[in-house]
Amino acid sequence: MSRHLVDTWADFSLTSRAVWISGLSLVAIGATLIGSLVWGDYGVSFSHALELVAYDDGSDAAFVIHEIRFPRLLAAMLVGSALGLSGAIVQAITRNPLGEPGLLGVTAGASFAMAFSMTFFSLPTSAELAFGTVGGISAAALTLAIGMKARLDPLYLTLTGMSVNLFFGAAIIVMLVSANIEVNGIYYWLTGSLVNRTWDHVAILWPWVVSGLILGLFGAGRLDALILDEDVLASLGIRVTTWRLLFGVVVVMLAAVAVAAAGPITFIGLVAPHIVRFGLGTQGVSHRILLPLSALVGAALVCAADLAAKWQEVPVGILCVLLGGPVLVYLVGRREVSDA
Amino acid sequence: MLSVPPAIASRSDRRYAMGLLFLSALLALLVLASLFFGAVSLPAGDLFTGLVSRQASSLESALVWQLRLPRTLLAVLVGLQFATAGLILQAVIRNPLADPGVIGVSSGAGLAVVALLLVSDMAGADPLIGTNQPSMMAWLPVAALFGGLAAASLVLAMSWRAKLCPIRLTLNGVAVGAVLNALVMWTIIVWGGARTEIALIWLAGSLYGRDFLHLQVLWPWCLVGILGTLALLRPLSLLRLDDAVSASLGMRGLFWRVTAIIVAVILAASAVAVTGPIGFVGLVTPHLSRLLAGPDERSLIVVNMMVGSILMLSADLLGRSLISPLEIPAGALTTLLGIPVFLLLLHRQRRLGI
Repeated sequence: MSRHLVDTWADFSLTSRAVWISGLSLVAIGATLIGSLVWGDYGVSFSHALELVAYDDGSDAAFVIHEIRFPRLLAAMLVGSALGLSGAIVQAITRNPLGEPGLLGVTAGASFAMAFSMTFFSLPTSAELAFGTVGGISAAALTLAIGMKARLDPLYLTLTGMSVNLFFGAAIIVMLVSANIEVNGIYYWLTGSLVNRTWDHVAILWPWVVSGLILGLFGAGRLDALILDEDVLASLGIRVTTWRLLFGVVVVMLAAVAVAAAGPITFIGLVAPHIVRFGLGTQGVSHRILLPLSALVGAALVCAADLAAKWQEVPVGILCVLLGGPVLVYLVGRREVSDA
Repeated sequence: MLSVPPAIASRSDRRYAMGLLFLSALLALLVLASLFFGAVSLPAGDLFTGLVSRQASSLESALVWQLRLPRTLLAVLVGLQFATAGLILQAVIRNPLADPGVIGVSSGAGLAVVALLLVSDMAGADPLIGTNQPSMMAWLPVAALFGGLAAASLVLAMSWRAKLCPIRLTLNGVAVGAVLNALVMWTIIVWGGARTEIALIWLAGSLYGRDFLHLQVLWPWCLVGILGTLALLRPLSLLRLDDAVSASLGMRGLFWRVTAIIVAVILAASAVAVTGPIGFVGLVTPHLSRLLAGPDERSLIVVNMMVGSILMLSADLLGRSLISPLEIPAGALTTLLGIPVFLLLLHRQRRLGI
């Protein structure tokens, strides 16, 4: 039976597989849509919930749907897409199958900077986001500067990134302890959560996610080319460093905006592109296909994780680590990752 | 053992003796500093009287005997435990990046401890925070030991196929550590409630509020660990060699390796049970000690213990005096200082192309 299934899957063309993957992700998102709209302390039947999404009748149920459950779901989708997208891009520009904004220290740097701004100033969310971006860029620069010496070897780079992570984690603790204020809220934010996300968060997220996707699709050809050797690229007249830097900024922006909305959620950027590659059955997928599919799979993963989180009252970031850790171990053990 | 020309031997002996003297002086100085400095500043003379006379009624006596002395002694023990565990692991896995934190022992022990706390909280006891149930507290190191062993075996088993290649092993350790920490956070958030913050500070690794009860729980484990280390002296120096060479010298390689790892886990896990995970002391100390002690395994172990205690004492002292009367968890400080050293070692490892 399974043999038969494998053969059937192998017969599919790339396009039909891509359609399958997006279909499955959409089904997953749809299922979580139903689940997260209906499920909660305030009982609303599904048909009624759908009516309320379309039409606000001013009732309590409408408030729950419109102001609490629907924006949370949208925020989850957008955060997931941002993470999936940034993971796919960072894997291309560092030529690193283990690439992930969280594993490069970006997420930790952004969280440190944002926790700093939350602790010492009370700023509007957009200013916090600016802080986060600066923090993310500095952390990424730190990791890459150290990793550059080893020619961005994947294992070495990841190890460096995780040390940068630990460093900022310790720095956050030192800062929070020194500030001596009520910090439980910040601790909770630091585990990554989508509880109480409102339309404000959606409003911050969507412009960045959409423009990131558009930029990625425009640059897909360049991203494909970055797989090649640097000398070859130079002889083709492609300015490697410029493109890497440009896309690097996109990655950090996407990661920072996700941190701003949901706190540090790691590993989704690692897992989503690999699920897509696994589903397509090939490593060398064009980024024109890989980027949108990664965004979609990332959205489905975070939505599903958020639903599970709602059920258990656990921050969604924790569930993502539980999912992503084993994937990282698997990828490290695989032979394709070069020997250090 | 290689035979060393007498002149060189005596020169290195003298250097070693000088080093030992210097370290002892430093350690004594730090112990005194740890006893006499703190959030409450009192005249040193009064504190000394309090230390010697030990009257329950006097403030100085209570301060020294109930707060600072146990804390200082614990720092000494915990520092030497982490350092020795790191030394053993680095020798056994032949991996300069090995450390109880890196191979997952600390996170495994942490998870086991938090799980035990959860269970005991359900049962109505309150061992870590209330410290009114000494019988419960004695179980903490046992739980930590099992958790640490389980996590370490998992990481080692996963890296076995890659022949324990340092970088892969470390990555696996970090990944397993991340998953275990996530589980710890989950447990704390489900269970924590008002205690979340205390649990999180414990997780950062700190000696805050530890008393003689903790010392009482810790010292037997420390003793067992040290005796085990002494028993391992000869095998350890052979384990550094190639497998084939040590086998030809009559070594039962696997047996000694497993024993050594268990001893290291005993040392590290019991320390984690009392103070929470203190990162990177086990990683940094052996490298630092090698600079001071030279290649001889026996002197290295002694120097390593002293350096571990010195590092731990200074981290604790810094943590409680930098922003006094608040405290920075010692574990956060050691991580902040340890990461640059780790990156340096990683860089060197990479350049050697091992």
